[in-house]
Amino acid sequence: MYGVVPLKGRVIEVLSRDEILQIHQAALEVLKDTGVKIQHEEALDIFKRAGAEVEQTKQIAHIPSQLVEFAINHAPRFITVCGRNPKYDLKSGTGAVHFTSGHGATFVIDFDTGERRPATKKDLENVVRLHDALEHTHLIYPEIYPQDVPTQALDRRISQALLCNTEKPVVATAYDGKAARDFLRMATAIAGGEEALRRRPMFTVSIGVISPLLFERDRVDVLLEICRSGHPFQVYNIPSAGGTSPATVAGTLVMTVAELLAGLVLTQLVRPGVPVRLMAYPSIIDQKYGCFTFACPEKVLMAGAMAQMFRYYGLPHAVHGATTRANVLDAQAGYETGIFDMFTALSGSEWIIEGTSSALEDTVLSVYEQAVIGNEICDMVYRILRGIEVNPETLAVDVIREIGPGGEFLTHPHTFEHFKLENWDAKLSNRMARDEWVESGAPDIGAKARDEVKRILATHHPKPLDADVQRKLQQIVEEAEG
Amino acid sequence: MVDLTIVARLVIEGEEPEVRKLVQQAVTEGVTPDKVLSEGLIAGMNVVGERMKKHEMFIPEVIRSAKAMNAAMDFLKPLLETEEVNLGPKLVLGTVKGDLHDIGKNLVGMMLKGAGFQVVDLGIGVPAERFVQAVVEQEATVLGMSALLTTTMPEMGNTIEALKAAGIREKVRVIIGGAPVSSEYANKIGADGYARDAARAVDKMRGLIQ
Repeated sequence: MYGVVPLKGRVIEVLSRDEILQIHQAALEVLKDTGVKIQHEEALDIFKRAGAEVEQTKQIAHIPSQLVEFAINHAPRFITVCGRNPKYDLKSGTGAVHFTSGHGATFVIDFDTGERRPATKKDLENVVRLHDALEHTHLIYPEIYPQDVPTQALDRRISQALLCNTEKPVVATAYDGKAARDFLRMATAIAGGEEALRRRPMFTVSIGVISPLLFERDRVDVLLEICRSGHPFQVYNIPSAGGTSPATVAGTLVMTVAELLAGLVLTQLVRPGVPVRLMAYPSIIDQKYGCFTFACPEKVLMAGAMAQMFRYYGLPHAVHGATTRANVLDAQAGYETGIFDMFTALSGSEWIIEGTSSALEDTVLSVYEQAVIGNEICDMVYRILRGIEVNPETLAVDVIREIGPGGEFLTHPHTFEHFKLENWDAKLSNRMARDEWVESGAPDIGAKARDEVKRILATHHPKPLDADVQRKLQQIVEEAEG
Repeated sequence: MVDLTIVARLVIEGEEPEVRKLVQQAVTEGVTPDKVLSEGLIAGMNVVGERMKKHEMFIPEVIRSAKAMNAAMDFLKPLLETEEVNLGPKLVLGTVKGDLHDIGKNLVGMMLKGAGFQVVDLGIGVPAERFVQAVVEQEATVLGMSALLTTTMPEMGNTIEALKAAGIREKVRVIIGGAPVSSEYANKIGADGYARDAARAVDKMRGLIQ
């Protein structure tokens, strides 16, 4: 079993049907009236030829609702991303919830010294290997952006580290069109040819819309390159309520939808039918501290709403799950990541970004132990999603009759037959009584997670790429570094 | 010839019919009952106890193993008795007066049987005088008492006092267990030991009777 359908299909809905339609209409109005800014002549031409009104000097495309309809009708309902190992292939559209790693930390807590320092390539490799081992990380993003490699080819270095250290599907970030071409070369080398890559698309390339309503030139280059190749693509945005989008949750949802739909339109105009996943990261500005944060209840409300919007459109999607503003592995880290993973899972999003992330400090700081704790949270969440099995065997009327008042069920065969499927098995969480826990060294969750990280890093080694493929990847990276 | 390590493995896996079958076969083939007991059944239950302590086995699995062992014992016991083999140290067990909780106590009994003890289980709500009487009649070497309630805990101390009054306190080792009980409490009431779970109860009793 890979992923779980929440409560047999019953998910939390934060928006009514009418509210979904209001948000949809409002987004269409924004796309038509305000339009989106596209810093890319060729892309503007594509919009123009398709019937959008374009203000050339302002680089604004006014996108009519017919184009949005066209895009929604042509974009595939389902997307499959493949791992190096087919057992990790991920399909959307099954109703199942999946969790992914985090994205973009630039600092780490050094696993040996406990010191906070800039992240290295070695950290990225370690964290990717960790996620390769963690049961509930189904898709791996560049959780760490290493600070010790040349910046001109950072994106290639990251992709290389991802591809070499996991057999699971990965998502890459490309900074420009040339990087996008390099990624396709890397993926082709691993797949064993262009045809093989088409059959098994190895990784998704992702670009962000800059809120509000701006498509930056290099990112559009990436979109054009990847979509023309027919490779799966992802468009994401991170509007922040009260900063780069309206302070109201509803207004931010309108912005989120409008920006992602604009991206979708461009992908489908470039190549109708190219598989695209839309990923919504809307969040807020904390107006007391003047900072952006993902660690807020509004974020998960918006994640739930976006899951509904995406289901309304019938499009592959991802929303944002566990993140924490905590600076250390503390109770805040626990309750924020726990609540956010739980709520987004219950809202039925296909893919929950950051579900098992190692990140604290709002995705800035990677702490290896947190990934293992995230995996434990997702394990518990999945048990809740599995819901309650109700049938004559589980209702157990005969067993109750047999045992009767004052008896016990512990030694009855019915208990032996069912307890494993019914009971969640705590792998990391404490279930020891105090005296046994004291005898075992009184470990808190951080200490237990630390032992688990040690175990995984010492023992878990994904299948290495063939030596000639590794050489090819290294060559692509070195060419880019010049 | 039956391999007794396979009997032990089947006990660990809780395969009752197979354990019974192999034990019968071993005896038919001429293996002595006490050897079947120690190298097959008890050897298997020793592993179960170790795994239980490390939480590598779940309680319902432990119970299944104990049931497999006990089913084989039903067959072996008459043979052991006719051959006048030492049936192991004898233990009187019960939940104290006023307390009806017996799941944990029963588990202790199962594990002790699995470890080769003879267990005389007096059940629940056992008053001090019945414990004393049973220790005398059964010539037991160990007395095990259980209480789940803080209100019934003092009955354990009362029973120890009753053993003293009957002049047999020195003849029997007393071990206590139950959720509110601790090793400190055992010391306070003059018991010889405390065990927090069934697997540790086996270790503790083995230690006490040496």
